[in-house]
Amino acid sequence: MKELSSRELEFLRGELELWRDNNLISPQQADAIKNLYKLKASSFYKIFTLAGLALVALGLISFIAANWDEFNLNIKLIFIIAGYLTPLIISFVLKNFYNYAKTSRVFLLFASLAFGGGVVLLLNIFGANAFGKFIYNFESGRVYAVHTGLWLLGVIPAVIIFKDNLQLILLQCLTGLYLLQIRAANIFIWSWRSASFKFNLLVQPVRALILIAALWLLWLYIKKFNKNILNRVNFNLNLLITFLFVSSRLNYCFGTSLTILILALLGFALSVISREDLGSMGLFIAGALGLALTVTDFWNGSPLLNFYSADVLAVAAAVILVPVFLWQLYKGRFMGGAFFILLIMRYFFDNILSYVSRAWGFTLMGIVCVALGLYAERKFRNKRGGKHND
Amino acid sequence: MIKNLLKYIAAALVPLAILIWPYIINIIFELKE
Repeated sequence: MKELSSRELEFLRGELELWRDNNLISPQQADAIKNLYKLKASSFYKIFTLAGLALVALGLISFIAANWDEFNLNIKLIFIIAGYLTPLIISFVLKNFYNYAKTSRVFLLFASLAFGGGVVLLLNIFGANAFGKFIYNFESGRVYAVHTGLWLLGVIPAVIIFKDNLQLILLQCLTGLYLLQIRAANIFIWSWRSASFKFNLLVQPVRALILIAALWLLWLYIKKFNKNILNRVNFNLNLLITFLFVSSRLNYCFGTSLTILILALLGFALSVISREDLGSMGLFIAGALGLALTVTDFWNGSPLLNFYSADVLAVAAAVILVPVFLWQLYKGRFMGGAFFILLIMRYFFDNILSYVSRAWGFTLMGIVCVALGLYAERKFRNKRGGKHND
Repeated sequence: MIKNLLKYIAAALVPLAILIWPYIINIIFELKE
């Protein structure tokens, strides 16, 4: 039996009467159709119950938090572990006895979040004495990286065992945070920085590389079992983390301008070799970073300045970009055309702004943008109308 | 259902170990002193 809301059921009854009165269906058929559906239980009571449970949980948490300093170590530890185990048990019960798979997954996520809270509290407790300093090395800026690192270690088994996209998203966020933290604390930069060993520096951060490789493997593994939209989110987050990591390493080794150049070339290569969506992403990277390279200031401090002046390099970048964008447009990627227009507008507006006052410049820019927008919309509408008539 | 229970226990082992081990080592240190 399919469940309908009371409004939908009312509508269906009215329609059935109409059809019956018009002799489209027999009274028996009308009854049979009516019996296919039943009234859905009101979600209002469910929300009420959930809100009540959330309030009780909040009350408990505030009670514990208010009296936290009064408790001794054993009781604190029990609270921390109970905070982790309670949502885990609820998740198990919901899945096995009530068959609420989705809610069970949400509670699983709660458990992983509570575990993170537990780790933070625990490190605060043990960080207070000499023992904590000994284990966790609290002196340096590593302290928060330790929180995040232990947290993500605890989430990894849940990702593998439950094959859950939500857990993987949490793990990806934690890994991103962890990489930022250990970068800020300069932990993974411990070796020589000499020109001849620059490529070694790219593979120096062993921990980061292992974590990123693990994220990609986990994504591949989970993808085999789940077919849902979150796989795509996982993939994009992995790509983002990898991209940020590679760019930060390149930046450390080669400086800003060369990093932008290398990444733009990588993006271009991706747009050439890859299938549609990944290729579009490559074109976006190549286009956005390529546009940056047409600005003279971005070439400051570049080793290429030994051979050419910054102006020449910026113009050269623009000259190379134009055929690239047009070629991508010819291949059917609209984004190539958009970047081409952006490039033209960049030069146009830059020159306008250096010759006229701000007020005139902005007004002119605005008028040109509005005109372009109206033109594009009209063209688009004509095209759609044409298709419609076919 | 037993298989599911085992899954949950396996997933909880590492986090529980992370939450408990500093406490245990702390006790051992105190006993030594």
